[in-house]
Amino acid sequence: MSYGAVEQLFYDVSTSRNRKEAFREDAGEVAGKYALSETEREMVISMQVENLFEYGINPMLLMGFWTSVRGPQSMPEYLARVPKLASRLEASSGGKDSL
Amino acid sequence: MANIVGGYIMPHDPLLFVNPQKKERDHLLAAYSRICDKVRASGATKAIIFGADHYILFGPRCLPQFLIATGELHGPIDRLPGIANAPIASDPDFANYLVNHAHNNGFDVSVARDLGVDHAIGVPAQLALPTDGSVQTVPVYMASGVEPYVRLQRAYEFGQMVRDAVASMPGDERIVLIGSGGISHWVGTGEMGRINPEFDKKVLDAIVAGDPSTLLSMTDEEIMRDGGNGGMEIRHYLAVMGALPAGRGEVLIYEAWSGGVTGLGFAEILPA
Repeated sequence: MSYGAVEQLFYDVSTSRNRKEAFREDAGEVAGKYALSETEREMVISMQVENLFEYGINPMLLMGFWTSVRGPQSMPEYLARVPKLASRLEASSGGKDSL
Repeated sequence: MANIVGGYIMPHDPLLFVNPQKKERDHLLAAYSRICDKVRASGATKAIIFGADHYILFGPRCLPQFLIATGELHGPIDRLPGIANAPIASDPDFANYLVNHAHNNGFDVSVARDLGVDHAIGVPAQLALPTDGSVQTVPVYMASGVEPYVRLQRAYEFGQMVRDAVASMPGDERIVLIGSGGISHWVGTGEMGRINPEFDKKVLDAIVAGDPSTLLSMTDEEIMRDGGNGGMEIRHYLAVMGALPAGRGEVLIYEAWSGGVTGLGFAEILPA
């Protein structure tokens, strides 16, 4: 499990023009630079925002990653796909420390 | 003796500046100018702005709970129409004084010796403060956007610590405090676009009454549920309230603006 590595990749893509362009050109190669599990790698490369959100990725970072790669015009698709925060709250209500 | 001459809360919703739906917003932008006029009239010489990083400045490898910028400043670094990424007047001596006071009083704050601030600090610094250098800014970043979140109580106590720092500071500086943040808003979640006026009213009522207990009694789960992940920014209001205990507030303008995603509240908190 390398949750932090996923967030680091997203942070780098969101804040570095070079890393963003590299991800657009070859997402698999960029993902290979981070210590991701196979499941994480698949979620990242195919930009499975539904699963990434449920995985616990910070929503602001997830949105920033999405719009960096797909552009701000893709926000309607992002919002149609990303789960509600309420679903994460329900999932965490069983005693999990973090939201 | 240095003293705190006033406090304000205000939003920094980027959509207010991008305005993709071309909604009427002049009355909201005017609120920043109105506060700027008040700051100028107060004779303020310094400003402390409490804000949140939005996973723009600090990455997963280092996430400070509290950070004070002690050096040169500019921003906002995120592009916003109508707000240039420009220098922000700073005062390293004052910032370092606050750092030392914090370290001597139970807050092991991090520092940034040179910082391009994001919109949380940049919007109020460029719009609600004079930009002629007459008011020098110290940014305080709190972990309100990225877990682990600063505890509400600690945010309030941080404000109390700032009050003590100012009270023991030599000179005659006049200091304004700004709590930067929207009230209810959901960022990057499926609810994005929802605004909860009931939650916003509850928060603003507490500010008007000068009563932090309503906010301090909230759990993070309640805030997330009723105010969204962006609602965690009420920590910045609590810091101002901690520095101005019993200071009653006045709402300058509030709107659940349909052009954005945030409950937009502008308020003034006067010293008791």
